[in-house]
Parts: sequence; C-alpha cells; structure tokens
Amino acid sequence: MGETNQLGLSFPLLLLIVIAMLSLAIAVVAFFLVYQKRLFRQQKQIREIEAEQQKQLMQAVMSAQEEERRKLASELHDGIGSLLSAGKLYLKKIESVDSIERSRPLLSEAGNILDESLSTMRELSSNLSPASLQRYGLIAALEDLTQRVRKLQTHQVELICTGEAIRLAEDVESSIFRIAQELINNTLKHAEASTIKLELNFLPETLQFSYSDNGKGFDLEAKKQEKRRSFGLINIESRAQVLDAQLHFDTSPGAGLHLLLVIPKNIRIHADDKSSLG
Amino acid sequence: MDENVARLIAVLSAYSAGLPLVVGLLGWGRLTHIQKPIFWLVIWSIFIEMLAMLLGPYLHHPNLFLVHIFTVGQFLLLWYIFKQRLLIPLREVHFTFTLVAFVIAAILSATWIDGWMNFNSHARSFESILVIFFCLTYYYQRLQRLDLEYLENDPLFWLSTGNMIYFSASLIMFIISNYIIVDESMSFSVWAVHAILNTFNYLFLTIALWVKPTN
Repeated sequence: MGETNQLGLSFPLLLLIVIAMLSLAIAVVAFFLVYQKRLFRQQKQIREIEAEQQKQLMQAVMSAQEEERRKLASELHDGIGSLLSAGKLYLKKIESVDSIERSRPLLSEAGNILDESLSTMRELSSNLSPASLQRYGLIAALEDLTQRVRKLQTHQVELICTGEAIRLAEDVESSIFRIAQELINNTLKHAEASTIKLELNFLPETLQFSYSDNGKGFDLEAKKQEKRRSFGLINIESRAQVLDAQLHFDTSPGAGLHLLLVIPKNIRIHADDKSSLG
Repeated sequence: MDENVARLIAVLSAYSAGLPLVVGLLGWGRLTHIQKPIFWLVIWSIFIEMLAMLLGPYLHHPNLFLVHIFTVGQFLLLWYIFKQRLLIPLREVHFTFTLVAFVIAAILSATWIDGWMNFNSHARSFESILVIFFCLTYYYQRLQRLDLEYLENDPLFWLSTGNMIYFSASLIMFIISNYIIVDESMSFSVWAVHAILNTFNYLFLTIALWVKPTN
C-alpha cells in the first residue's frame, strides 16, 4: 500500500475518492427514494381529502334534495292542498243551496280561495325557479329577490350594480343567484341582521359579486372544522368552484358577514350576449 | 493489494455475470421490452469477457483493444434502453446528440487520444458521465410523473441504481487508468476495486431481470 505513480496518487487516497463517490451515488439514490415516497404519501393524502370533500358534497346535495322535496310536499299539502279542500267544501255547499241568491256569497268565497291557491302556486314556482332569471337575467332576478325581502319589512336591503352589465350563461347566472339566495336565507334565519347589501360589479376582466350583512357573524374556521359542515357553506363553496371563481369570506362573531366572489369574465356568456341590463 | 487476491477478485467478478445470465435465460419468456436489452447487455459483457480471457491468459495476445469495442457496445445498449423510457423529459435530439458525441469520443479515444492498444480512459469516462446523466434523468422523471409507486418492480430502477453506483465510483478509476498502468501493484489494486463494483452492478442487473414489472 502507499505506492506512488505518475500522478503521485496513493492507493488509499484513490480508495477514499472511490468511497466518497460511491457514498455520493448511494446518497442520491437514497434521497430519491425517500423523496419519492414522501411525494406519494402527500399525493395519497390529497386524494383522501378530495374524496372526503366529494363525499361531503354528495351528502349535502342529497340532503338538499331531500329537504327541497320535504318543503315542496309540505307547501303542497299545507298550502295549496288545504286551500283546494276548502274550495271543494264551498262548492259542495253550493250544491245543497236552493236559491242562486244564497249561493252567491259562497261562489265568491270559492273564487277567492282559488285566487289564493293560484297565488300560492305562483310563489312556490317562483321560489323553485325564478322566471325573471331565465327571461330577464341575473340583475332582474336579484331585484325580485331583494324586493321580496323588503316586503317583509324586517331588513333594509340594497342592491347595487356597477359597470357594463352583460348576460352570462344560464347556469352561471343561476349559480350566482342561488348563492345570493342561500346567503339571504341564512341572514334571515340566523344572522339577526338589520341590513343586507348586495353588489354586482362588472369589471373588464372579472365579475365581482359581494354580499354583506350586519348580523352576528360566526366563527368561520370553527364552522369549517365541523365534522358535519353546514350545507349552506358547502353549497356556496362548490358553486364557486364550478364557476372557477375566487371566494373570500370575512366573518367573525359579532362582526357580520362579508363575502366576495370574483368570477372570471371569460366564463361562458349568454347567447344574447351584451344585452345591456344595467 | 496482493496480486493473487486481486486476480481472484477479478475472476469472481467475471463469474458473477453468470447470475444475471441464468436468471435471464430461465425467465426469457416473460422478459419485457426493457428487460430483453438488459439481458443482451449481460450477454455482451460475458462475450467480451470470454474473448479477453481467450486472448490474454491463453493466447498471450494483447486484449486491451477489446475494451474499446466493449465500451461502444455497452453504451449503445444502455442508450437504447434509456431512450425507450426517457423521451420525456428528454427529446429525440438529446439522444441523437449524446450518441453522436459518444461515437466521436470513442473513435478519438481509440485512434488518437488513448490509442487502440491502451485503456480507453477518455471514452470510458465520457460514457460514465453520460450514463450517470441518464440515471439522474430517470430519477427526475419518476419524481415528475409519480406514476410508479412500487419502484422495486421496475427493471429500469435497478439498472439505473446499479449503473449510478458503478459508474460514479468507477469514474475516477477510468480517468486515471492510463496513468497508473506502470505501477503494477496499484494497477492490480485499482482493478480489484473495479471488479468488486462490477460484481455489484451484475447483482443489480440480476434483480432487473428477476423482477416482474407490475406498474
């Protein structure tokens, strides 16, 4: 050992270099293996989270459908159903009345009941799928929605539209409308607010929809951590996701709710594009 | 290192090529399009090894020129194997360039720089760098794609790992090989170390031929 040569390189030194290179190569392979396993683990976790979210969404959709069916059945049974039963009773009573004079008030009452039935049915139909949304677009539908809340005389509602309004694809307008509907329902039911403000801002690149109330707000993080997350929140998030929109929630206990939805304008535009609605 | 020990290690290393040969022959029917060229690589190594033994120890004829031929064959087979799998992220032009560059290096090494009857130090060193580059590209591709969760079932993983270890550690020996040839004792020691690394490489090739790709 320790021989020298033309290079003056001893065998132990050469061996040391070989071992160093060997160690380096093994280190590269080991690093690669560890890093690859870690990436796979992360990917698996992401897939599990996505699957869990998907499951929650499915459950939310299913319970929403169930709730909608229950509501519809109850409206039909308790509202229109009972009105029509009352109408039928009046008509039966008319059968047993011998003079036309005596039947007149009964006929008039039956007519009133039928009018009320029609009005209830229209309201129900409008709640299910607002005709104004399809016919006149998002702004008109939001106007209708806010008008209905104003009629309750419990909240001050404001709707502001700025920029050059355009019509978007039906499903896009419907999604924004449903988000607004969900938010208003939540405010009316839980927020104990006195004012509601909706704003649609048509910018060159984006459409911004903002919503705020002065209610009691809630702990957003705690809500997100809940095992059974509220359907409303999931519904809003999934609709925003479908729209490819950015969603910003700003709320905390006692601070009201502020929501901003930034929708890219390159999303599908309605066939009657550019009909000014502003 | 004792000359006899070094010779014994070299002979054992040469015989270790029998392992991948047996595994390749027994499993020939199920070898994939990646494993078959690996098997040809083993056959090529054994063929040159036998020719070198025949020319050297038996016929007492210089046999160093065989290393030039072996290096070209070995690189072509490795180049072909890696090309089958690494066309993304690499491109056809990269493979063409490496092939042309290597062939030029091999010709220059044989005819001018090292000489036909000397060890092809330059060509072999250049080959090492190119093969290490292919191995690293293979690892990079795996991290980019994350398509093979069970790498132990991928023959190219074992080939890349074996070559990565063998060529990285041998590179310094290839570079200095022509400078130490006059120092017989050191030369034997160096080639004994090389023979050990070569044996490990054959073990990796054996696993590459043994595994059944399931990914």
